[in-house]
Amino acid sequence: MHDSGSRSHEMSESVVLRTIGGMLIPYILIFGFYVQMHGEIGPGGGFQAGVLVAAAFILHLLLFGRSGTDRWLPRWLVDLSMSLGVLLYAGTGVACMAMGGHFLDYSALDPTHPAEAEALGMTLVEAGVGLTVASVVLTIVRKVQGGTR
Amino acid sequence: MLNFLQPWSLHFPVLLVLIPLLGGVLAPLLGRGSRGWAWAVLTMGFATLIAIEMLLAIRAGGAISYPLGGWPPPFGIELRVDMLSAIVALVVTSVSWIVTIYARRSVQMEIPGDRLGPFWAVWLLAITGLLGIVVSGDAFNVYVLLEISSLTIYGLIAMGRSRDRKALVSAFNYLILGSIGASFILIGIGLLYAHTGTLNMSDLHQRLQANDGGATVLTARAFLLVGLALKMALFPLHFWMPAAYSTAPSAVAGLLSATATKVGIYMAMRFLYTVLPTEGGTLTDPNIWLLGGCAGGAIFYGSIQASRQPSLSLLLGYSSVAQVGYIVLGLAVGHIDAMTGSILHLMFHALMKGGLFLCAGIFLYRLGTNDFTQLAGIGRRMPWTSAAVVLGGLGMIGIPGTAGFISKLHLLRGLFLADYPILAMLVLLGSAMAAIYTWRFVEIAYLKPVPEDAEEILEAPFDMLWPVWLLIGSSLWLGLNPAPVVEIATDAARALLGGGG
Amino acid sequence: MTLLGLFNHWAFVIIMMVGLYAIIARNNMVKKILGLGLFQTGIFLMYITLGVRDGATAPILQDDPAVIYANPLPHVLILTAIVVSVSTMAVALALAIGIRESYGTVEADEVAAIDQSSQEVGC
Repeated sequence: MHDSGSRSHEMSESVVLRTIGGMLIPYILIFGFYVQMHGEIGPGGGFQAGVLVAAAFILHLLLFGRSGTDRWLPRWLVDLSMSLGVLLYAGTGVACMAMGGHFLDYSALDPTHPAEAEALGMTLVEAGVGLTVASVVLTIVRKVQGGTR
Repeated sequence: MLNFLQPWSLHFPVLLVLIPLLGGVLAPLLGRGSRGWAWAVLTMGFATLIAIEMLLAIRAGGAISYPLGGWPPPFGIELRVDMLSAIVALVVTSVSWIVTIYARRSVQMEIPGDRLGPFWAVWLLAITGLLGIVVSGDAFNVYVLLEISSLTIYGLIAMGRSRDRKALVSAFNYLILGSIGASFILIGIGLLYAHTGTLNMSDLHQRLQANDGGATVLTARAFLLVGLALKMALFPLHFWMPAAYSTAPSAVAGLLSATATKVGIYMAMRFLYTVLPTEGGTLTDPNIWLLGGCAGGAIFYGSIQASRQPSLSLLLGYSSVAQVGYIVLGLAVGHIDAMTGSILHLMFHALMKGGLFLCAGIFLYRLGTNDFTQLAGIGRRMPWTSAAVVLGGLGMIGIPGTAGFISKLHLLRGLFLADYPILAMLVLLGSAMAAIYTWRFVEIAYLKPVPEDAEEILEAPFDMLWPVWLLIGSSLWLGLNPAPVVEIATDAARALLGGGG
Repeated sequence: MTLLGLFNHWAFVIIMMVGLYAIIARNNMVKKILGLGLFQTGIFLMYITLGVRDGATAPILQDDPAVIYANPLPHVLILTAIVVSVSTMAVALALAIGIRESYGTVEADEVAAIDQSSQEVGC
């Protein structure tokens, strides 16, 4: 749908916007990771972190256009991480069941240290949620930007 | 029980949801061609195995409760599977397995090649949502899973766009109506939570039975009834269904008619009898007359519309409107026989209507259309497919020897015993009208001559034909040997009417 | 408390009805989608109102037994419902884009008219 002529048109033409926006992206990403790692015991978690990480890439998409973002974050990687996130989440649950607990009963992961096992389980599940949310939000924005196909 | 499943027997309820979920997220990684299809067949076969084992376990040992994350109910989220859920789970898994086996050729024809991976992912995720509703024991979880299944189903219907762009419009209309319906269910659950402070279904039922809360619970009931009626396409809130079923890819229509509306009806049974307060196990009179009136309207209107549609898919869509009417009629009056008939009809209709929609898909595959004008004399050109349509139609009428006869017999006995002869008359009238629309197909397919300029066409390929005959044939077999199915349906009906479950 | 509670209830009913009116009365599909969003936002407000307690703080464990906590459960539920609503919006917009691509319009009556005329040509 977009030929090469309109592709360059997608990129923001303002040098100021591109420079300042480009500087912001690493900070948004770091804040996203902070919220992700902080989420198991405090406010935060995979959900919010996923949206923050996706916001960083959406900003990149707005500034540098679709081809610019595809170079940094290829589309197959986004598709893959959508599935990988769910796999991580469900896989943690299945691991709990294989260790003799109920689905997502994290304490079963390490019966000798249940508290640490719970922290581990929560971190894994939150990582799965974050991965899926980030890639899904990014995919939605890309699809709406460029038609359904 | 199969030996390798033994260590997992405790986890059947959650496995039933996890298997299609994992299958769904892995499907797009498998790439193009038939690999996604083979993977979906494998996944659904495994899920069917789990559903059979779960039904047997419940028959031997009663309802299974599964605390997610090890948190005991009512504080944690509970999965709860009783006889009724096990039956519906088995219907959903087995019929969607057979439809998946059938679907390879028709999906490859109707869906562009680069969409096949996502198609099978969405297909399996829709089944995940439906199975989740069936096993869930938590009211809010039902809402979330309902939306998971609905959103994926909108996507599946819209994938019919490459055959007929009207699929987009019918998917959009279904999305608007379906979201309103789901939102009404959300309001109803919210009001119940406001009154009781719990979301666990059996806990809700106990508390509401003790204190039925006047206006709040009455409002909740009204919202839930409207939302559920939209979701199960009960007349007069049915109009999205024929449009959606006739424009969706044909395999999707088969899947939806056999599973999605059935799960909607399951939710109605669950909410009306085991969540909302009942009066000694049955509904109150205004409820019965409201649901009975809508169901009667559905039977009458659906059958009339079915006999004047221009194509086989639309005919089947309106016939589904009527069949939902029978099932709701049985669940409304609250007599044990009527409820048994209702559950039986739910199972048999999934088999018969699933098979019929697949036949419509075969005509579409061979002829490119299933308009009646193009079907003249089809009985001589595609004898096996046409015979399957006729046998399925006989089941819709309820001719003795077909499964439809067994379910309607129970339904009628229940309606007479519960003293609703007017509603019983409606069932008989509806069956006569089903004879009219079935005859219409017979007349077109067997009595009209083949048009002279018709191209030479072959009978359907064998790998599309045998799943159809498996569905139709099993409905005939169950019509002749109904005893085991009637027994489990009676068990389920008794648990439902006894409250709790 | 009573006044606040009632005010919220009036507000959510009005927001919901505005949304429902937009779904029914607007012809443009994107406006219908916006109406649906508004309708669902009204329901979120209802759930959040359920969790309110007068003078309550955030439900984080503290040593002081006299502290009153707000009920966190409705907020958690509605977080989920918001995600569902966003997904619904995404699917609906994707469908609207698809309709625009194949019909050239997102006005419901024009789409219906195009379908009607193509059917007549087909027969």
